[in-house]
Amino acid sequence: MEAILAESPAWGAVTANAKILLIEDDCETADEIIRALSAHGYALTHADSGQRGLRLARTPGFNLLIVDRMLPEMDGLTLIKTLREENIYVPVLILSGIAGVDERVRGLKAGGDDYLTKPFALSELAARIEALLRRPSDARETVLRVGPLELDLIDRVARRKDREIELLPREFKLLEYMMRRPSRVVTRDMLLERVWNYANAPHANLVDVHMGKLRRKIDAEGEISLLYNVRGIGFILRVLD
Amino acid sequence: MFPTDLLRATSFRLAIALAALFGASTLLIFVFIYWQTAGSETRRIEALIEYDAKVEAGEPRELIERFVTNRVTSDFHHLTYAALFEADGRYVAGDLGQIPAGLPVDGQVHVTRIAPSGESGLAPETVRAVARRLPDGSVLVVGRTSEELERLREEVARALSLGLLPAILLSLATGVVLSTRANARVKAVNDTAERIMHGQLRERLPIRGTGDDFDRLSASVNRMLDEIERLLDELKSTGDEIAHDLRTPLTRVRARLENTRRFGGSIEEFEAAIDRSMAGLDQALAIITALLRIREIEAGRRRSGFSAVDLSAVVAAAEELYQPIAEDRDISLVTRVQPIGKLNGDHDLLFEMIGNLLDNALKYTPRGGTVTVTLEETREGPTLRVADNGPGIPLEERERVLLRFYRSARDQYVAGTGLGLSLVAAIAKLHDARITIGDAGPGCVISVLFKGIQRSSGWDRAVEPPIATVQSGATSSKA
Repeated sequence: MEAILAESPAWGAVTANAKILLIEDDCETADEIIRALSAHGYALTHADSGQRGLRLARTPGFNLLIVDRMLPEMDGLTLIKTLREENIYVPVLILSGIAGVDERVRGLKAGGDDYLTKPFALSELAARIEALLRRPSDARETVLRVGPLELDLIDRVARRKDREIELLPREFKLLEYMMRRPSRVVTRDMLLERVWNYANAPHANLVDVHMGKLRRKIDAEGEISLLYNVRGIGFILRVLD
Repeated sequence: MFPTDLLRATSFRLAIALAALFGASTLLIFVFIYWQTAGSETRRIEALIEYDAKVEAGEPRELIERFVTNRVTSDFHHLTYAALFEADGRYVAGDLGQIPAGLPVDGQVHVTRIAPSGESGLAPETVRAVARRLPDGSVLVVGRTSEELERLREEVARALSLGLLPAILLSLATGVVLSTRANARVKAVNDTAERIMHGQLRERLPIRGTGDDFDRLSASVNRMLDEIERLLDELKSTGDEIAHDLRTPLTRVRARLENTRRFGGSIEEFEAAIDRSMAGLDQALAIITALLRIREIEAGRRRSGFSAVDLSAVVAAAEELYQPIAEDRDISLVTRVQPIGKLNGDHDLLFEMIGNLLDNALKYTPRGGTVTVTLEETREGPTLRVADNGPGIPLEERERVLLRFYRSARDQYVAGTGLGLSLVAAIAKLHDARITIGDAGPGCVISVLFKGIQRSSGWDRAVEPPIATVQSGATSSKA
């Protein structure tokens, strides 16, 4: 029972019209990013140098910044630090050609909210932007609900309608992560980073296997699927209308 | 070029300084000797004439006159003076026409200047003299020239000039010779360095085999050059490996795109070609990433992430991550973990290592097989073993399996970058662990012996909590 969906631009509708400033010096890359994100309904502004980017970032109205790390005139990390020192707290996603755990930590320390290593899939970028724009549901909530699914965080119990679902600890964590982000595409890398805390798992398809097990527990025989694979991208938890 | 080079050479400067020091100390010694000798000679002369004057003063007048006359006549070298004068200063006898001006008549030795009588034209000379008044009022003058002292001074000066100048010249010459030789060696080193900088990396600094300072310095520079050459070779071979292993997937992608562009008709065909091309590119990128990671780990930079790690918890976390895959393939994944205490290591890398070992074992184990992970304390140290009952690895291929990029023939139908075990080897090396590949009969067992690893105690680090403790809390028991 494989539940596979093709990606649909309509999923981005909730945060469509969000204004994004892209600071990237390679114009071809920038063009592709703009094309992909415009299809999700975002309005993009492009700056091709650190100085121009900083000047634009100081003007109000942007919901998110995408900042390349290596920029002419002023590098990305300095730009972000400068903004944070000026108390501008717009979410920032860093794009970088420099991989490595330490580099990632440096990027986040400088004030970035997420770090994506080049080369990346455009769908990965879109999913992460969506995640940054829509903060997860209130962390103080003790019971999460998505359609017929219910997750009690205090009693550590999962239910679909009246059926209780037995979950292993990791499955519980996985489901909690998905239920806090309903109707949003979540990529394998995001799950490895956030649910397993591993930046370097040998196989990204480990996530598929775990997700498959979780799906078999959630979607019993005869029930409507809630957990879907999004082809080539990741997963989504949603109630089909 | 030669003189400036010479002047700049350290050994020549040292030689000049030494020559100056040598000259100064010789001069000092000569002055000291002269001062000592002249002093004692002066004291001897003074005592002598003072004694003569005193003794003669007690004699009768005739004897004094005879003494004076004898002394004057027997002194062929004009070294001494003696004269007798009446109380009113009138000349009686001796070789002085009058009492020297400025010589007090007090029986003490004084230094005065006297023009020798008789032979005119002689310059007045410095004389030590005593004038003593006799009981009858007459005055006796006894003196002696300081000529011998003059001669002594001259001789000392001559000896100094004869000895000092050659000594200084000799030390300067030695300096020139030494620094010329040193210059020649510096030049040889410079020339070699120049050639190395121009790309002849196999050149080495010349060593004479005498074991002197230059040899020792050259030897250590040569060792440094060996290491640099090794690193460059490694870098080059990494580059070659990347190029080699990337050519294959990239060639496939390129051919596919070209053919699709030329022959591909339907949208579906285009889409399929694009999907496969993207997968090929992703594989190429994965290879680059994995290679760079291996290089980073081998460079040992990740030691900064070391802390106290509970290896059994890492094994448990890895088991939890891989158990579903094992189940998917009908493989039973069994772990046997003994508590072994904490080790000093990088938690994330150790997890990655165990993950790669499990991934590798699961890949090669047929359906229905078993993968066993053992962690135990052996005589040699903590040992991690991952055993499968797959086809095993032939003896002659075991070493090569750990080398980058090598994939044995059995690998043909398993996808991946082929770098998993290389990564394992790099991480093991970083932790001073030894890897052996053995026979599980049937199957393969890979052992990691943490031989040189430091035991940790005291300080702790937050690791993934052991699964067993969380499990009871999360699994519902309210059914």
